[in-house]
Amino acid sequence: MAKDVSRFFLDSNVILDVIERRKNESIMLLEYIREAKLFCCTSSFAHAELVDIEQEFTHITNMLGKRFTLNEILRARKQKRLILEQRENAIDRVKDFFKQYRIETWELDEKGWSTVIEVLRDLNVKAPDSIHVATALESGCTFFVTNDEELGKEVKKKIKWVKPSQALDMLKRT
Amino acid sequence: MLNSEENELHVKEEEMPRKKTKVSSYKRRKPSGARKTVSVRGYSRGAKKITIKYPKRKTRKK
Repeated sequence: MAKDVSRFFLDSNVILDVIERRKNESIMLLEYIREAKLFCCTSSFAHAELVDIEQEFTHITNMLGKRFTLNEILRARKQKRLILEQRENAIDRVKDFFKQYRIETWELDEKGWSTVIEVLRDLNVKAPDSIHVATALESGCTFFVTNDEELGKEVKKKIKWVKPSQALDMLKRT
Repeated sequence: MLNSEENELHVKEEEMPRKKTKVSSYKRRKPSGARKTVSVRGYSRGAKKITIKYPKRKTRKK
């Protein structure tokens, strides 16, 4: 794999692995991409998803601190009750991360949204994933990096799917 | 005599058909030549890189 033509689209789960420092392969891949100054991007929708997830983590942590049961937490999962400072902190975590790893954010235009519908016609994916796939295609990415196997199996009909560990292996071999 | 020759010359210049310069549709859209979206090795341009402008914090960062 020639490094200069490697353009990586990062699914939100891979970025989350690194923000939360929960998966070594994802951390190593992003470190490698940064060091080698390779192109990597994600969709503007993924950006918003990540802020939402970060806020959800804070919300759940708050509830755990208040000794709510797991059932109560799950029931109230979608009822975010954060103060402004907590919401802003979540935004800052994502913002700092994107800056640190130089991840570009790409947004679809009119033609790109047609591709979203095309993706929904051709693949069995949900709407948020169709936005990611269309952004990957329209931004000229050569690899779609995700840990989600179900999504990956569908995505590979349109674009090469790699898990973070596979992407890292390929990059190290070249 | 001289005057009439000059006039004739002048008329001839005016009557000369103006050369039409073909302006491509691309140039008409964007005279600066800059593209709105980025083309990457022949990929269709249905997306562009954006810079998210984060709102200013209302609370103090700890």
